[in-house]
Amino acid sequence: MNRQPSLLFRLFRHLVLMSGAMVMLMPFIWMLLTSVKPPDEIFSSELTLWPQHWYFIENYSEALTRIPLMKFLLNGIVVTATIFLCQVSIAVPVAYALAKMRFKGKKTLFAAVLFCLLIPPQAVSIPWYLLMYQFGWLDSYMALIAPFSISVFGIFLMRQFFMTIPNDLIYAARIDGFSELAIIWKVMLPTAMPALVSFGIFSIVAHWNDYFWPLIVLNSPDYYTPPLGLVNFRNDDTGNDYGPLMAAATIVITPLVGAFLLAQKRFIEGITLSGMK
Amino acid sequence: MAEISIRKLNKSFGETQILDQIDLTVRDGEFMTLVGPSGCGKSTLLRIIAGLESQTNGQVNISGQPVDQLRPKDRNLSMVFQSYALYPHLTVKENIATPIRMRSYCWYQRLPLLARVLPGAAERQSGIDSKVAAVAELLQIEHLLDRRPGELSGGQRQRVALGRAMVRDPAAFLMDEPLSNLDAKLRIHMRTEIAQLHKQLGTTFIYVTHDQAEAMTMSDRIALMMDGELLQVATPEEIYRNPVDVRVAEFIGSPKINLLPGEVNSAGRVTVCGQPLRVATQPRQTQIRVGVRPENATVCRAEQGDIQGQLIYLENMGAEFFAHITIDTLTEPMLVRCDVEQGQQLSLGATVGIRIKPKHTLIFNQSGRRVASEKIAAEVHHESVAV
Repeated sequence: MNRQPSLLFRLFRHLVLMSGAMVMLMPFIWMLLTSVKPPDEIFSSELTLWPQHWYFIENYSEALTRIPLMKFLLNGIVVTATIFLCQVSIAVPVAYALAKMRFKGKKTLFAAVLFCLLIPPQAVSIPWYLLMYQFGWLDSYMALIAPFSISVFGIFLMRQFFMTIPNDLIYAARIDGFSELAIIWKVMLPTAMPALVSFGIFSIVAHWNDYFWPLIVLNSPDYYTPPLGLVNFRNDDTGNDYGPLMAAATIVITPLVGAFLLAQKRFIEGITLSGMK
Repeated sequence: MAEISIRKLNKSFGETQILDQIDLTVRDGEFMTLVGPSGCGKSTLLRIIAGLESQTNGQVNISGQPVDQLRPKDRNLSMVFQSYALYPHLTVKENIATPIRMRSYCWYQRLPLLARVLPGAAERQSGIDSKVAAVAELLQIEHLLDRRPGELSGGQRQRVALGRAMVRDPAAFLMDEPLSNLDAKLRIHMRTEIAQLHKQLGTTFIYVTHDQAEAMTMSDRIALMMDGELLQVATPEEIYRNPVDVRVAEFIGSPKINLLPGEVNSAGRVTVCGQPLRVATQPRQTQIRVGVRPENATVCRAEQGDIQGQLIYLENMGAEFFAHITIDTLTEPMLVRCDVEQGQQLSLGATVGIRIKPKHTLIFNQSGRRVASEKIAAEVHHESVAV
């Protein structure tokens, strides 16, 4: 009964899927095309897909020189990498304890983790702002990093993955002479690589693209992350400068796209939470 | 090498008693099998010996030393797990080397980069390499050393797990159902291999299984557990011939022993289904059960049998037949083994007799304990036994 669907149906199916893909991709395609168009074509009344005059070098050099984009990218890397490292170094031991240790109040603790997943970050932004103010951390890397150093989502994801790892593996490690900390970092973490990679993508994308929180806590451009830097191209006096803005946006998302493509295979594995066998 | 002794060991989770007053001594170099149905507490007992779980009370001694306060790694035991529990991110070689690396190196000698430049690193590494190579040769897994566990078949993973356990000369091996994830053919093969390995190494083995065939074929002695209780510790031969409890008799042996309800008259003679057998036991017991293994009964013509029944099914095993015979007063059919020639002549539905060999008949009292019985000599007429 391995009957091929009719040609018409297959065409229709592909058409539906392709139009879905177009809806998703269109903004990106538009961004790429705008980043190589001269200003008069961007603002012309008729919509053209392909640029008549290439304005690639002008837009991109403008994007790189008008604002210290490289500095912002570096800030972005420092902030997202530190956030990710903090999140992993807390989430992995916590997840191990929640998944594999026996102690009183474990269920309550896990319920608390689940509850924290429900809190939107905006809801706690004012308390966090006040806290940062009290600590004197406003307008610094600390203000960007501290609120995100613990990720309940990370704890949850790693805990779910650790639950699928058989207890025997931990017993074997204990007999072989691993300490509990060594079990966490040398046995559980490498085993949970797929989950870690997918968590990494979630975390890095979220904090690389975060606009809301840096906007609140930062004043000096020294600590600007890439999304904040992009706003420099929006100018109330001279209007919007879309060509360089789109060029800068393209530069900003390139590292993310690159990282995703590299981690894609493991990312999918992690999402499906595949076991070891 | 070590003697392992367990004294008055109890384990309970809250209200539920998992292990009840376990007393067991495993002799130095012995292959001891803990056998019992799932959930009888045998794996828990093994994990307590390994130090992976703690007992509620009682004592575990290894080589005469109490180890209750020692962590698993300080007890110098090796364990092989049902799921093999290999480190999935390490190659076979690294997996096998891990126990020695963890034990013989201190923490800074294990640091990823520093380890190579420390004095004596090369000698240490070659020491490990030669041990791994020796184990790999013994288990015939040299060609697998650079693969990861994910690329191995079940049997190969099993060998790697054995290798990881063997590499550092432990005081004893603990094995927790190591063969139950293998297919039937490989399981029988690995059975022999593990038994031979035990002979070669001469180390104490404690082997947990729910498979009575594994227990019978591999062990020096069997410890049969049920419901957290140790019912009998004996050699396979002894536990098969002389079970102390009806549960032991039922668990050991395949196909299962036949249990027939019986009575004892005032003279001590056992009757089954109203028919006297040539077996005597303590008189005046009611509701005894008479255990007859399928090979200790024979099918014969109806008038020659101790009891009569109807043949309802013949199981052809190739080298032997098992006849299923229903007896009017019993709910379950009785299983009798017969040889090929006899099996081929039997016809389904026929009324046949069953002759029970009195010498091997096992008598269990009301509470399931075994009671002594003896064969009544053929020439003695049964009334004269009543003296």
